[in-house]
Amino acid sequence: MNAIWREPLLHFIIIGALVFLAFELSQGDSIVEEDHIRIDAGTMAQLQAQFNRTRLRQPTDDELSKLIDNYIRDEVYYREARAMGLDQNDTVVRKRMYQKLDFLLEELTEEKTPNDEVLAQFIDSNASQFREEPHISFIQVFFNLGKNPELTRNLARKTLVRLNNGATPETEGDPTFEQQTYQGVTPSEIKRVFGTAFSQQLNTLEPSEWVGPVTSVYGIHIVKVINKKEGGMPPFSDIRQRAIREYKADRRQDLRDIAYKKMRERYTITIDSAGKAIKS
Amino acid sequence: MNKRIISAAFLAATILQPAVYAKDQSVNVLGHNIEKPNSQMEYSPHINKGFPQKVLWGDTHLHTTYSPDAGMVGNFNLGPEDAYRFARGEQVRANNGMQVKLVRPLDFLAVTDHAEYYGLIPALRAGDPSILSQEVGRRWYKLFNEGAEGQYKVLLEFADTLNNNTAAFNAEDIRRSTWEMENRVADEYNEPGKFTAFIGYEWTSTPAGDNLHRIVLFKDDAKKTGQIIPFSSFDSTDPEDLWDFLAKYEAKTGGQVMAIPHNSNVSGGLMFDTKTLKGKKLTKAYAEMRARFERIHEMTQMKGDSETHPKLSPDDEFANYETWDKGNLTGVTATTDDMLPAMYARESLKTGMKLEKKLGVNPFKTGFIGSTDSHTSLSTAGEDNFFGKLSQLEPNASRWEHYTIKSDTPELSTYGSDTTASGLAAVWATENTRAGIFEAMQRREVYASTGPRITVRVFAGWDFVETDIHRSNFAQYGYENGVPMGGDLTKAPKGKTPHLLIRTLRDPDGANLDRVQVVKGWVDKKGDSHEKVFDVAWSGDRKINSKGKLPAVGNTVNIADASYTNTIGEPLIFTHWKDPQFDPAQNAFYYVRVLEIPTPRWTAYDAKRFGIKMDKSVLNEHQERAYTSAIWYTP
Repeated sequence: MNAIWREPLLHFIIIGALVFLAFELSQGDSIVEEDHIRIDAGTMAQLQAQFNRTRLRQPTDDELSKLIDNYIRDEVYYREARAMGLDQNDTVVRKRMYQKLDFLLEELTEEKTPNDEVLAQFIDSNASQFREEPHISFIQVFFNLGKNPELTRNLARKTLVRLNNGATPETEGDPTFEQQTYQGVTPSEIKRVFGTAFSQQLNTLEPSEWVGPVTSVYGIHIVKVINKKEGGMPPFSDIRQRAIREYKADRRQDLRDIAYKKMRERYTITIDSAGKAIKS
Repeated sequence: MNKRIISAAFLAATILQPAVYAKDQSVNVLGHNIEKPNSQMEYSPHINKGFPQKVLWGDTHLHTTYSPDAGMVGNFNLGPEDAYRFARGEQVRANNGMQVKLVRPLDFLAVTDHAEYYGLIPALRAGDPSILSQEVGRRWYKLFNEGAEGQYKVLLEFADTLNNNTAAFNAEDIRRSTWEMENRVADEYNEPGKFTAFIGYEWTSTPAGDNLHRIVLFKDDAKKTGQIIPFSSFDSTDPEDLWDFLAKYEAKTGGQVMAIPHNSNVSGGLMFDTKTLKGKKLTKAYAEMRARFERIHEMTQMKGDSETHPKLSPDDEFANYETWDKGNLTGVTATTDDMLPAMYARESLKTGMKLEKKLGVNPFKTGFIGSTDSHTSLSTAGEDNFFGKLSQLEPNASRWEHYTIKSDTPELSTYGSDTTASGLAAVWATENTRAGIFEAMQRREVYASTGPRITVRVFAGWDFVETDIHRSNFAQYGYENGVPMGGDLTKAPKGKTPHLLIRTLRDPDGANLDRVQVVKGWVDKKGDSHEKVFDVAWSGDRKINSKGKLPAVGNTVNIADASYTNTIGEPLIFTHWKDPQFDPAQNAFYYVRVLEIPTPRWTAYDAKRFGIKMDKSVLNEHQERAYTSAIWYTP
């Protein structure tokens, strides 16, 4: 049963019917005869709901009868105005129609959360956006090049040998950051602390002995990569929420353009320009 | 009839066409279930030491289409979801149609739409019945639909009603539903440990055009914040009434909230005034309330920098940075010299100490942050990626000469070129959560940047020595033996002097550093306040000259190419400083200012990318900077 409810085709049919119904109700005139205004339970409920939304309570009988009077008055005006063709060539009315359609488009997609299959496809075709970065664990010993870069480079080279002979990193190098050891950090996190160049160089290193120097924006580093785990696609459940958000944003951005394009395709447009007719 | 059925069915077909994303085959969901690497591994080995490990970067002041001025002047589409997505590093299409993305995501963001006419524009766009049920609403609706000219008229009416503090129009249900929606979106995007989405809004008190605005920032989730709707300047323009409201909020919900003043530089001399808005003398009760809710000050942002003014700090050669001193916010009143002391952060710290001596409580003991105050839903504080203060000022060839705020007095108008690609809030928090960041702000362990991510850490103590700066356990030692930025030193031990340990790193994707300065302010025996800026460490082998000045660092900026090189300056500066003029009987504060080497301003990037020439008066290079919160000494 659940599977059926998640079926896009069913959504298609139901929402199609709803769109039609909404259109019918909002237009109204083909269901209601031209000279008959009927206040039914639905209209009444709608008036009450509108009142409740602004005043946060139900209308009294007196207020309700005023609402109904106003509604009838509006309706008479509306129908007379339409009959006189006052809605034609009025920029405000045109604009309003445009907006109503625009909103309808937006709201209909807004409420629709894609099913997991659609999401999985979305993730698949935007894989780089969702793929988890590699995680690297490493130790770095920093040298500030300062006033005598050559001397410092020599010092770093000697330190490299010492470290590979078992010296402890804690007592080596110059102070810089809080940490010498970074565990399971991603290239973006490394980039954030040490800059792009360092992060790229570190990416090319495999777990091994102490190596270096590796250059960062702050100076040079002797580095030991402890381990590296390649990134991959995280479990679906971990990225589902984010994928829904991105899917919706993606659709929101494209939807009106797509809808407009589709609707426009149904029209033949002729633009008369400088006596020359251009067909599209 | 027939045609309508076709239309409706067609529309449904268009909307519901399933997006085809798969390359050529269906994908098994389980196919994604590969092992997640290191998901439980912590970033920091010191994670349980209980002190902040890394600085978090964010923006506590951002407007979306739900702010009336944003929604009316071009930000027609982007709401809080877009704002949070953008801050988290996703690509977004700006209102001008361009795609935009941050080079590095933010760690936190607060969407803070104006409480006045909150949510009005999207409702106006939709022709919401509660708008059309009021005469003003119908008129605005009509003007709105007439296009740019009509919209500008509505905007002027907004400004007028804000200046007079009377709402022309009230739709509480719209405010309530917008508030609930924004709270819900913030909760949804808030991801403890990864990204903090704060719930907040802006209280936009603007009596006669003087800017008394405060960001109202909540520590809480929608369960608590949903129990109120924003207190607006239509309820009261007096900050004392705002604090009362905030106190009631805390009592009612058990939550926590703060108010963050900003743009003291366009407050017409009111933001740090020595009397109340009603013209009364400040009392101890006033000072207590203000100190309780206003712990930090957003002192640098897109409408200029409020650290200090050249007339207040004539000896400070870097005082004239992105100064906005033509008039008050709406350009109704020109700025006069007597207003200046109440309009700048450095002076406010001095005034605060003087008031503390009288009242027993310092009402202006504020830490410093920066934020953008962008109205585009896009938090962009980078010179090379600046999407502007307003949607009309999103990148285009003529934005530099557009009005930012048009005044009836031409010389009080501000222009696109006056706006600044600024700022960011840096926070030394123990964790990236609402509570972690909020608490750091309350203890003022925060600092301001004009855009670059300059790391600054400072500790003050009585017994620090030169070699402490090189300690491998620097932070731990600093906390155990001193106080961090925002903290207090009291009652100097006999014969002791404050020592500062300062570590600063340049933005890894930015420019080298020129120098580190300590700004000291103090109150003498007569009760007069003073200030001095000390150059304490700098790049290269420059020497302080006979006039006591450090020569300029040099300049590598190529304006035509909008580029610079890091061949001058230092990537990191560590230093120890001892106050050479300490008097244990005098109240004092110390804060650190770090200057970058000169770099191109956003206007230089615009000139290059659009191939345009701007007016000669337009600034196109500058030295960006970070300002730490002060450390106070009280005898």
